[in-house]
Amino acid sequence: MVLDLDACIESLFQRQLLAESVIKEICEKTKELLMSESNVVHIKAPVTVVGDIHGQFYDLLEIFKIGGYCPDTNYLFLGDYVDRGLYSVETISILTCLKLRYPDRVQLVRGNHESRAVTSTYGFYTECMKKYGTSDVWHYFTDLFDYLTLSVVIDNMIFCVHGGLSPSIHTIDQIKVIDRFKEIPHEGPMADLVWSDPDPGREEFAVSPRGAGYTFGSMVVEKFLHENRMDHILRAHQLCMEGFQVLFDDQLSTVWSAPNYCYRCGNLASILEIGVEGERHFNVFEAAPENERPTPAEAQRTLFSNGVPQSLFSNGGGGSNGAGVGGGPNGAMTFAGASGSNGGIDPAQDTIHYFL
Amino acid sequence: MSGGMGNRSPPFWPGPRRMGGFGAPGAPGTAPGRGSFTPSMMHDEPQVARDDIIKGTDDDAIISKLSAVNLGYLDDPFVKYFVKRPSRRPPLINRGSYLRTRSLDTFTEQFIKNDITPSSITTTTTTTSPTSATTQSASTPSPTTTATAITPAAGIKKQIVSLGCGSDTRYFKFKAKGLSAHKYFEIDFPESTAKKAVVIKKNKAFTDIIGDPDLRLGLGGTELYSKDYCLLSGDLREFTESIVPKLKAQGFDISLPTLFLSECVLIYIQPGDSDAIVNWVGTNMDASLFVVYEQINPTDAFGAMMLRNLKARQIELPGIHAYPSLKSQEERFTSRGWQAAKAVNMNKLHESLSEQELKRISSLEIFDEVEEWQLLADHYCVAWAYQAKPQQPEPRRSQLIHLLANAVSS
Repeated sequence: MVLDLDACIESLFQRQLLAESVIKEICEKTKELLMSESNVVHIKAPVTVVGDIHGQFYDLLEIFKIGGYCPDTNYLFLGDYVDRGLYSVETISILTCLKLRYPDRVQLVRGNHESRAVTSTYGFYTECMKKYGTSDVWHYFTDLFDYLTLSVVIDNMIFCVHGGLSPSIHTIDQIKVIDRFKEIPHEGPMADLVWSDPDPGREEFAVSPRGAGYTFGSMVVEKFLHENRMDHILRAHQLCMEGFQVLFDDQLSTVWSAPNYCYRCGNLASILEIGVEGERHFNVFEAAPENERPTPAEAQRTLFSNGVPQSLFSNGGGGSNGAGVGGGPNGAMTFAGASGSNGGIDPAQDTIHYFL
Repeated sequence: MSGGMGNRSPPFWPGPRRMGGFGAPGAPGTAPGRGSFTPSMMHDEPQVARDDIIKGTDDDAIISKLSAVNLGYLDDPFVKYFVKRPSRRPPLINRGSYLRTRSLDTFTEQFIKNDITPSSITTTTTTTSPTSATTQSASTPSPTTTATAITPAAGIKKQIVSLGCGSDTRYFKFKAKGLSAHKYFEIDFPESTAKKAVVIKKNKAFTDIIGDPDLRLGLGGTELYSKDYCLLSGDLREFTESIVPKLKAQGFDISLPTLFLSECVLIYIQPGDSDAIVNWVGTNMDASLFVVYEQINPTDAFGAMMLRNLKARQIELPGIHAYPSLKSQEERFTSRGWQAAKAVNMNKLHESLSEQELKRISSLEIFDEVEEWQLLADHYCVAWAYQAKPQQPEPRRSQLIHLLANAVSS
């Protein structure tokens, strides 16, 4: 099959899913591309940096609207493409296609959600099952995630990573020797890079409330920047009500790109536009206007790129529904008393949950 | 409708917000039971529809509770009987369901366990001045109690009233562990109590706990009576007129110390109606402890979004603007003559978990939503208040106050 990336991208912009076989091929090709990327990719400004997206596809469209479309704008995405939002599949599909289509204009860094364990709990696995009927697409993407780079350096001045710093890593060179081509471990430098958070109230490393990675303080930041002769750390990973946060006397900033996160937090989002001279500007935006989102009924309908509604495949896309569910990773999806063939997949998955 | 980027709706979409309006929020299998109206239920259509929505919140809550049980946060073998289609909730919802249940369980357990002994009276007692922030007994003994001869009260009888109980399993869970009150009353809409009565009657797990051969149904199957447990149907908006008489008919005794529980209940009725309940309890009961768990902070970004999202599911929180803050939750009681009141948000309760317990629940599943958790937890509170009628003779009154104060000292 000849892969028509432009057609794929156009379908995805219309929120039409790609066929499973197409996803498989795109993932294979993108893995080949990513394989040759170092754990530290060096790029030049101008570039627009995007933080967590978490499946909020319509807000990704908003980002392209305000930041410009590929390849006219160079983009650096800092991870967490999937989970929590309703359209993780569409989001990661379009970003993968864009990376494959414009490899030098699009950089994708791995976030802590680009992991089998996390996506089993936070929605991406469930969404893949719902939209494709089997877990194959989830496998293709999570295998792809193993290839995503861990960090990017802009103009040798700005160190970009999803989470933050690690007590095991003092120099860029130490990052380069990590074997990243695997599931994110529970601990160690690779885990720290995607899980850690800055703590403006501290100077050193401390235990993280997240249960993985560390928190790191002002001395750690200064030391790292000094040692590696850089002047800024740019990361994502933490919700910012104002869309971004600047810390440690402008030595570190967080960019957060999922407005009204989980459709619940009421927060702003931003993208960071870095100009040719290295000037930094946070372009803040709100959730995309309601009249540009699908109605609830439309949101339930998922189209394939041939225009055929997913509902025609009923619960199975090939009758293998249930096969992938009970045997989900770590048995995560099954529990006592579950009835019906959906194996406990939340029929109210799309509900915004509160305590009632 | 496709073409160009994104699916474009007509320019102005007046319908419910995309995320909220996914059909009725009720659980699968819940047909609105319109067959068993009592006269008090004959409201106008919109009110009836709103009441169905309110009943639906129990379905949401019980599924969340079962999710927490199944993952090991909570231990409760009774919840599963009330859920037809279990569903796994996101980690922060599991954590919050755990915390809410655990908090109210702690109050209930302390209330049940607390007793009145002569020695405890001489060492501590509260003063009678109403304050808005005290919760625990002061350490200075009151002169009156030390001087009076104390009659030992052997195992004082207590009552528990669960308002808007829904599918709550607390009575069964506690009694299974050997903890029970003299009488436990549960109250909810007839449609809800009818469903609950069926589950109870049908399952040995429940009837064994009740352990009363005289267990019987009433009022067309919407009520259930036994020695220490009564399930009563009614409308909390008519508490004084219709619920109080029912309680009394089943042996409710206003002279016994009573714990009133409102777990996301009062928030759904007009403040005037919930005030009426608080007023009645404060005025008529000799000694009572009122514990409320509900939403607060409607006006910040998260709170405003919460109201919008709930509104899209046709869920309104009429009580939230009347008592939107921790302080106003306390004043809700203290302004009505209650002795003492205290409100804390869920973050505070979370912080007061022991290190061991926090470690235990953190090991149950990945938890990657610290900021979001804090936002959510800021918008829920537990408020408690107690009172003992001033007209009572000492030492009885001090004994009762002491019992209540100890129940909330944690």
